[in-house]
Amino acid sequence: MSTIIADNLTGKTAAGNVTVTSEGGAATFQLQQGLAKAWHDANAAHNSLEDSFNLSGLTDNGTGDFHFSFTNNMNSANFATSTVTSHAEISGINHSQHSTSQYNARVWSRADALSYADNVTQGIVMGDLA
Amino acid sequence: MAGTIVADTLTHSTAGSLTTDYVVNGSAKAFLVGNQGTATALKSLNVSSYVDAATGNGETNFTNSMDSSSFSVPGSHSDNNSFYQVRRPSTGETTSSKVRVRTYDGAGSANDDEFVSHAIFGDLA
Repeated sequence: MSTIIADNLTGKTAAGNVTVTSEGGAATFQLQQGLAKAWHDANAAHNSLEDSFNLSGLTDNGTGDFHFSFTNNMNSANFATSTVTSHAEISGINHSQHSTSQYNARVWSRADALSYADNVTQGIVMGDLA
Repeated sequence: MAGTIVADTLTHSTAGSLTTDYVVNGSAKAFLVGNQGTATALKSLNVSSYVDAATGNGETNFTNSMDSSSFSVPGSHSDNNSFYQVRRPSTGETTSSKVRVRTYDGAGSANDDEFVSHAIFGDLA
């Protein structure tokens, strides 16, 4: 078994492109693009990040409406964001409020005609860093 | 000439170690953020096309296929009066080469969502 001890992985031909061989060996994919660029586990009741990656903080915009600010920004406002919540609530995003420096997550209650609700929100961000 | 490193473990000087199977298995194999109404892919990885299959029914086709139709598709939508659903492989709408994601309004009717976002985790062929 071999071990690489390093603080940085950088592509030789292109710095931002390290390729990885797929499980089945039929394809390669770009390591950088397949990595989550941020994730959050937040508790709206406490208005706090329980744990996170590449986030400097969250902003409570109101009931069930949050912005998460990146430590290192994305290269555009177009990135994929997947969120979930708990209990019987519904989780979503407002993509039009995404920017290179932040993303939005929302939680709605199913019990009262889909109004906003404070609850746990968790999410991941996929896309390209600046 | 590009070089190739064959290794089982990556070790950072302060952040710890990770066996490289987590890199290979834990990386997203595809992702997409798109406008379901116009079937427009705004940003994607390993996606050859994003097709409007029907109202509230978007088909994401992969450039490099998965090894089976069993993979994870966490995702989100942007409308509050909407529900996000990944179609089961048994429907034939999700296979090793594509995934169908549907969105419904609160009454259970198919509904085009302005933005749908999802990632694919699993094994490539």
